[in-house]
Amino acid sequence: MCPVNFPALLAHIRAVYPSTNIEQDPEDPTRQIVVPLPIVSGKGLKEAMEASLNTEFFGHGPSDSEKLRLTEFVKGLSARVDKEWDQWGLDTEAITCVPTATSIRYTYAGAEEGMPEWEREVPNDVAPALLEVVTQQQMRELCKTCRHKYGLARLEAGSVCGALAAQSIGEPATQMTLKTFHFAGVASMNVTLGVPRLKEIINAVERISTPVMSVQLLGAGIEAARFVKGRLERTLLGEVCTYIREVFDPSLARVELQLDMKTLASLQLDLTSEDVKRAILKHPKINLKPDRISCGRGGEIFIGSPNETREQLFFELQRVKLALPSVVVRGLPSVSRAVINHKTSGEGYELLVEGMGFLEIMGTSGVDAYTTITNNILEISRVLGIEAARQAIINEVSKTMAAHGMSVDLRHFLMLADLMTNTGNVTGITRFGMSKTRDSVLQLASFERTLDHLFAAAYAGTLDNISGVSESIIMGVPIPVGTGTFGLMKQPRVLKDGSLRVPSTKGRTTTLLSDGGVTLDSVWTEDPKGMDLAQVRALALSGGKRAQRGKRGKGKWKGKGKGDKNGKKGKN
Amino acid sequence: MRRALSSGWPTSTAPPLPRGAHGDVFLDGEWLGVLPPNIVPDNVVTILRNLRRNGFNIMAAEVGDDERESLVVDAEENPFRELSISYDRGLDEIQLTTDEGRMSRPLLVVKQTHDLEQNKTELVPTLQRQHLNEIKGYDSAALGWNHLMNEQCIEYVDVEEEETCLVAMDIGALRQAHFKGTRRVKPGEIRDPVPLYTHCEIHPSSVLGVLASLVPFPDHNQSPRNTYQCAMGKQALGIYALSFHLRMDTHAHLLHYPQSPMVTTHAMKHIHFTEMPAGQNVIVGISCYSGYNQEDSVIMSQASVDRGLFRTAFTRCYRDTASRKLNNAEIFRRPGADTIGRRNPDLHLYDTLEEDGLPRIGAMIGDRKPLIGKLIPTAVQTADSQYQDDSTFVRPGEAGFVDRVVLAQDGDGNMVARVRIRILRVPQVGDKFSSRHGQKGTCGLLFTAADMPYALNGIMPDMVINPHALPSRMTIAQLMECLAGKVGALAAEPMDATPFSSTAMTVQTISSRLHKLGYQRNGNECLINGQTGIPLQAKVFMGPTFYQRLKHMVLDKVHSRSTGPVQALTRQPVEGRIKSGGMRMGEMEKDCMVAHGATSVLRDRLLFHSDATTMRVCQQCGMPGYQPNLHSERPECRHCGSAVLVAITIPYAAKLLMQELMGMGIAPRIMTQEPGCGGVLLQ
Repeated sequence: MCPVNFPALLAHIRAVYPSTNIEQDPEDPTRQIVVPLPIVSGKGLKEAMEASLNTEFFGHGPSDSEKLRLTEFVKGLSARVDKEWDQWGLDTEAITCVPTATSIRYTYAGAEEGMPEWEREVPNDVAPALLEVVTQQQMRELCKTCRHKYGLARLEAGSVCGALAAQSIGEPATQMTLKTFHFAGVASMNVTLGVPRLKEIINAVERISTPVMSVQLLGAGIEAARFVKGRLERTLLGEVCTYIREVFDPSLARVELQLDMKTLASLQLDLTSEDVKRAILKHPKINLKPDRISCGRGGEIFIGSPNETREQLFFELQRVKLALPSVVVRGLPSVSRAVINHKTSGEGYELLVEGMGFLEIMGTSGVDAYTTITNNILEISRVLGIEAARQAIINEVSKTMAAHGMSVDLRHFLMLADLMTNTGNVTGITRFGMSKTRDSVLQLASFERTLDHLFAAAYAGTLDNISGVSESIIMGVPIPVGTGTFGLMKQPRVLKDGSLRVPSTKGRTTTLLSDGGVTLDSVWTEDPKGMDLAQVRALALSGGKRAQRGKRGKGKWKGKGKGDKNGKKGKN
Repeated sequence: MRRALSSGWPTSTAPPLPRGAHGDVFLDGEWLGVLPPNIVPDNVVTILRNLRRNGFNIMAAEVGDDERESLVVDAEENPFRELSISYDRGLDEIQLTTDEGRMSRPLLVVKQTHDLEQNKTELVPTLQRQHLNEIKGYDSAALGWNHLMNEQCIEYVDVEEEETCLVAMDIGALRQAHFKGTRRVKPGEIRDPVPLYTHCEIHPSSVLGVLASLVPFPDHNQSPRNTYQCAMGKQALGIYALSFHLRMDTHAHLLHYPQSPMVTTHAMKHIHFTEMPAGQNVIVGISCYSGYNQEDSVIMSQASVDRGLFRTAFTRCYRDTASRKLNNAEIFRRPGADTIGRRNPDLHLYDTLEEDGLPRIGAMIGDRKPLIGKLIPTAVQTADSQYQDDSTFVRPGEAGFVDRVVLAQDGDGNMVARVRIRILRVPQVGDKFSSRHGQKGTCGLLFTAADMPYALNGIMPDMVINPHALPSRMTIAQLMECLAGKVGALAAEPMDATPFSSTAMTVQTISSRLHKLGYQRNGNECLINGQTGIPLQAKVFMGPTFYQRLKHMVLDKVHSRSTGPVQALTRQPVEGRIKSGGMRMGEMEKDCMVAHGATSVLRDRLLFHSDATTMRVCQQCGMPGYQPNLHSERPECRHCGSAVLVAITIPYAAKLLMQELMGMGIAPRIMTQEPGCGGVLLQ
C-alpha cells in the first residue's frame, strides 16, 4: 500500500551514489586510485535513520505507519549488516568503518551527546569483502528519497476522492464474473458474492439474499456446538408431529396433534409437550386461551376451538389446524438454518447461521457475543452501532472484491463507508438514501425522479445553493472541486504615479476600482493598500459612473462613458 | 399430399379419442389425428421415410398390388421428396412439414445389412462403388444426382428431422460402429437393434456452412477465431454481383484486382468463391519491425499499394425526383442566373451539369458541388422569380467521378434521376484489413519500398504483421495457410486446406515440400533491414496469405468539428457526422474530468463549446428577464419592476429549463450576488 518499495529503492540509491571515491594517489600525484568510502554499521544506520526522521523534513508528512515501515526496513538492513560484520570480525559498536587491505579505520560516536567522533585504526590481514555496503551518503539519500516519494504519492488538496473512489470500485466490478464461490468449505452455504452482493451493500438493502452469521461458541467441542445449534435453529411444529387432525365426536370437537417423541429424542431437542403448548399459545395467529389446550401423556396435545361458543366451529378448527404446522417450537423464528462448521482458522467449531436476529443470537447462551459477526450491514448498525456498521461495510466490500481477485486500495472503501454512514444511519447510494443526505434540488432532480423533486422544492420554496458538481454544471458555474477549489487574486502593478493597475481578467473576479465604476482596464486612483478585503469589495461593487479610460491601456472595449452600443451594462 | 396422407392412414379422426390413443400427428402444424394404441409411432415414421425414399406414389394404394411396381416415381416427381418427418419422443408427436423455404441438406442414407451366416449386422451406406461408377455427370438426366436419389443413396434432411437423425461424420465411423443391445440372434429372426447411425455426411466438411467454408484449415484454429472470420467475411470487399455496372445501389464497393485464394477449401468451389473472390493474396511477413504494427495494426508497402494492392472503387448513388404536379411541376434543369435561392451563389459551380440538370458522365465532381440540378417553382410566383434551386449536392467529404446517370419514371409518372459517383479508395492509414482467421487490424503506416525489409532475391513483403497477434489467439491455421501458400506459389499448384479430409495436409508434408523447393522448411527467410541495410538478426516468417479489405475505411469515419450546426431546441451541437455534429461528452466522460479535477476543461466542453448563452436576470427578484434595447428602453423587470438586470452566462439548456419551469407555474429565481456566490430559488 505504501508507495515506496524499499529494496528496489536501496538498489537504485546504491547505483546512483557510489560507495567508492576516485582520488589522487597520495604516493603518485599523477595517478588516481579508487578509495572506498566509510561503510556504515548497523548501529550507524539506525542512528542515521533516527536523525532523519526527527528532522523537520520528515516531520509532517508520512504517517506513523509509513515511518514504521521505513523503520522496519532499516532494522532489517542493519541486522544483515551487523551479521556480516560479525562474520568478518568487525566491531559493530562503531559507526562507520573503512576496510582496506592493510587496516580498518573505525569511527565511533562521541561518548555522550555533543562530544565529537573519534577514530581508531586496527591493522588487518585480509580486506573483508562485504556485500551489504551502505555509505553515509547513501543512507541520507535513502531517507530523503523515501520522504520525497511519499510526497509524490500524496493526493493534492481539492482532489475529488469521491469520484476516484467510485471509479476505482466500479471499474473492477465490471471485471467480476458472476460466479458464486463456496463458503469456506461448507458446500451447502452459498453466500451471495460478486456484483449482486456489491449492489446489496451499496444500496444498503434491508433484506439481503443470504444473511449469514458466523456464530462463535463459548464452549469447545462438538457437543457445545450442537447445543447452541439446537437453541438457534428454528424447528416448526409441522416438522415434529406425527399427525395433526381434527376430531369430531358427538361429545367434542377439537384438533389433536401427536408429537413424534422418537424424532424429538433423536434430534436431542429436549422438547416436552408443555414447551409445545407454550409455543402454540404464544403464536400470534392462534389466539388461544390456556384452558383450551391440554397435553396428553404420550406427547398428545388437544386443542379446542378458540371461540367460547360453537360459532363457526368448523372453520375455526380448520384455521387452527392450518396455522399449527408453522408454529415455532424451538429456536429463533428468524433463523432458518444453522450449520456446524470447522473453524477455518485454528481449532474448534463455529456455527454458520442463515437468517436474521443478530441481537437474539448474541444473547443466546453458549454464544460468544464478542466475536460473533454477521454479514448484514443494517443489522450490525442496529445492534452494534454506526461505527461498527461502517467497519462492516468496509469488510464486506473488500471481501467481495478480494474473492474475485481484485485488489482495490482500502482508501476507496473508507471513502464509501464514510459517505454511507456519516449521517449516523446507514444510507444507501440510491435515490432514497441520496435524498436524505443531499440538499441540492437540481442535483437530485438530475439523478432520478426529476419532476417529483422539482415540484416538492417549488412547493417548499427551496433555495439551492449551487455548491455541488451536478448543479454547477447545470448552471454553467465553475465546479468547486479540483482546479475550481480556489479563485485567483492578482497583484496590482504599481505605476509611476503611485496608482495601481490590475490587469483585466475575464470572468469572475474583478476588483478594479476608481472613484466608482467598473471598467475592464482602468487605473486605480485610490490606493487599496491600506484597505482590508471587505472595504476593497465594497468599493468594487459600489457601481455608479464609469471611470475615464486610462491613457495607457489596451482597452478591450471601445468607446467611453456610459453604456453604449458595445458596452455591457451589468456584470456578474 | 394432404389428401393422400389423410386417407387410408391409421389415424383416428372421429371424436372422442379412444383409450390409449397416442402419437399426435401434425402436418405443417395442423393436427391431423392420433395413432391407435397398437400402432408404434416409430414404425409409422419408418414407413413414411421409406415412402419418401422410394418415390412411391401414395395414390398407388388405391391401385392393385400388381400395378404397384410400375408406379415407382422418379425423384424429380416424387411429391414426398421434400417432406420432413420427425418424431418427438418427449411430446409423442409426429411432425410432418412441407413448408417452402426450409433449410435442408443432402445426407447419405445408411442402412443395416444383416449377414445371417456370420451373424453380423453392419451399417452400410446405401451409396456403393457401383453407384459411383454409374454416374455420368451431375446434370446427367438419367444418371446424375437424381439417380442417386432414386437409388435411395441420398436424401434431403431438414432441421427438424436432423434432430432425430444420427449422422456419422464419415464412412470410417460407420465401419467402427457397434450396435447396441446385442443378443444372440435365433435363426430366421430379423434382429432389430438400435443402430448407431442413420445417415452419413457426404463429406465431413459439409457440417460447415457457407462462411465457415471460406476458412482454410479451420480445424487448426481456436474456435472463436473461426467465428469472428464468419462475421468479417461479410464485410470483405470484392465483386458483389456480376451486374455491378448496371446496378444503381446506394453504396457499393468493388475490388480492382481480386485474386482467388492460393489456399482453398473444397467447399469454396461449390459456392463459387474462387470465381468472385473477396480479397488478394498478399506477401505477409511476421515481424516486429519499426513498431508501427503494434496492437493489431499492419504495416503496408506503399510500393504495393501504388501498384494497385487492395485498390477499391466506392460507388454512391444519389437520387432525386421531379414531382409532376398539375400547375407547378418540378423540373430537372441546370439552374441559371435567374434562379433564385441558389444554395451556392457561384454559378460556375453548376457547370458540371448539362442543360437537363444531369451531370456529364466522367466529369470530376467534388464535395458539396451540385450533382443533380432541380428547380422547383417558388411559393410566390413573380415575373423574375419563378424557380427556386432545389439541387442535390455531393456529400461533404466525398469527391469522385460521375460514373453513370439514369433518368427514369416512377410509378406516378414523375421523373426520377439517379446519379452514381465513383470514388477511388486507395488503401491508407486507418483502413481495416483482415486475414481469414479473425486477425483484423488497421493499416498503421505505409512504408516506402526503401524502408521495407527485403530478401536477397529482392522479394519484400506487401504487409508486415506483428507476431504478438498469434500466441494468445492460437490461430495456427493462418501460419499453415502461409506455408502452404508459399509452396503453392512456388510449385504453381492450388493448395487444399479442406478440414477433416483424409488427405489433409500436415505441417510436416507442407514443410518438406517447401524444403524440396529450395526454401527453409519452416517458411523463415533472412531479410535485410531496408532502413539500415543490416540483415535482421531474427529470421522472418514470410509467405503469401489471403487477406481481405474490410469495408471500414477511415475516410468514412474521420470527423472533426469546432463550431457548427446546433439543434433548434437546445442550441447544442447536433448529432451525427453527416450533419457535421459534435462528439458527445457523456456522463461517464464528465465523471472522468471531475475525477481529474479539471473543472475548467469541463466548463469549456459543456458550456463555452456547447450552448453558452447570456441571459438577463433581475437582480432583485431573480426571475429571467428580457434583453432591453439599451438605447431606447430603460431595463425593467416584469415581475418586480427593478431597474437592474444582470447578465449571466449559463448553458442554453439551463435557460430552457427555467422557461419550462415557468411554463409550469414554478418561479425559478436565480439569485445573483457578488462573484463567487449564487443560488437558484425555486418558488
